Amino acid sequence: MDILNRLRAISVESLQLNLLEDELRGVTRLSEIAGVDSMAALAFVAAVEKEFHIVIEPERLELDFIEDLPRLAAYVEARGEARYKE
Amino acid sequence: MPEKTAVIDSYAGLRLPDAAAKSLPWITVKDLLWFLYYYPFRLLSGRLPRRMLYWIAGPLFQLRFRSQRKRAARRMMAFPGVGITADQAPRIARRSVSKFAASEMDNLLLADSSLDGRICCDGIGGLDHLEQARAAGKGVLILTAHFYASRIAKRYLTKLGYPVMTVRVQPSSGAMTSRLGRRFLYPRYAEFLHRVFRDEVYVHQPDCALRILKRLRSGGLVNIHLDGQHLRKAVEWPFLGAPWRFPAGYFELIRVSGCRVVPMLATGNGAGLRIQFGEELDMTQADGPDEFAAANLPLLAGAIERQIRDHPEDWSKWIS
Repeated sequence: MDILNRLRAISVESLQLNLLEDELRGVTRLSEIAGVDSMAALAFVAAVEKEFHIVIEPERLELDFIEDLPRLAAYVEARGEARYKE
Repeated sequence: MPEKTAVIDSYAGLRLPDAAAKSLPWITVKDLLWFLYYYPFRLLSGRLPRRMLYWIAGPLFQLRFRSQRKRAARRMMAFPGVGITADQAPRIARRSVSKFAASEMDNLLLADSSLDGRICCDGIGGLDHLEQARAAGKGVLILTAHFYASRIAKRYLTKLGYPVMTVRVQPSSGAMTSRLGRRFLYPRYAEFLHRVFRDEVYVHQPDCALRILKRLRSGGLVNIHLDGQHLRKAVEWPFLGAPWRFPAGYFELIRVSGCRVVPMLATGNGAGLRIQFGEELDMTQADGPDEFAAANLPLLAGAIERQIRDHPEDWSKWIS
């Protein structure tokens, strides 16, 4: 599974959404699948950091960036620490 | 001034609908008093000695908030853990209203940055605890209860080189009870509070937690009032001998950021402020958010319980 799809899956898990994999196809922003409030954003960040063993830098902790899944995927990849689950 | 407009506009979403406003009177005593506070008192605040302002405001507040004062005395009896007897309660409630009056006068001082130099601090202790915690580089969560002197203490700390972000609830136009109040006074009230706090984040903003995390990860300081009861997810725990709902989100922020937690006690007022930092709290590590909150809530709640027990008249929750 590539990083973008993995992020989509993490969003479903961390935001406790009742969605199927098919429904996530083509989703690029978290707000397309859920209302992202303050604590949901934090839960998503915590889950991403745990999954990819990274700590997101302070300057990247903006809602606009966190919600943008392709940009976040590129960031995770660039950190070079992404670990894929088999 | 663009900055001023931006601040006022940011409150637009919290204005109540016009339909609700139409049933209101044009002006109420409450809103008129706020007008007097905002204009004549504010103008006076820069010219009169602090203690004279407190002296003028004290009796006026005792009169205006007499029903709240009686309610506060009754509320003290509902929290047996504070250890206030029925005989002591009216006296403590009266002192609490006086401190409330002083804090409202201090807000006038805080709203004008040119008056920052007029804050008098009688003593600051335990700064080494804050320094040690900050040196860890993961940010520091300054733990307080809702004490009257917290606002002025944070401004004083900022002046000393310790800028503190405040986490708070955004005021709604419901604070005003008349048509004129909602249309004319509310934007000024919102802007006034913004000038009082300056470095703030509102709990209802969707990026609130991220902004706090950002500040902590940059090694900064963030103040939370653990006794706030207005958040989406809460954890129940006895507090001062009564059930209390604590905001769960703060615990998740501590867990995710790995920040240090240092309690701060602020008492007095702008004419004689005292700040005391406690030792850093030793947090218990846990994997999940719920487990972490359960493991650490007694420690954090206990820290602010002690402050309230030792200084019951300084706790603003009796009156508000």
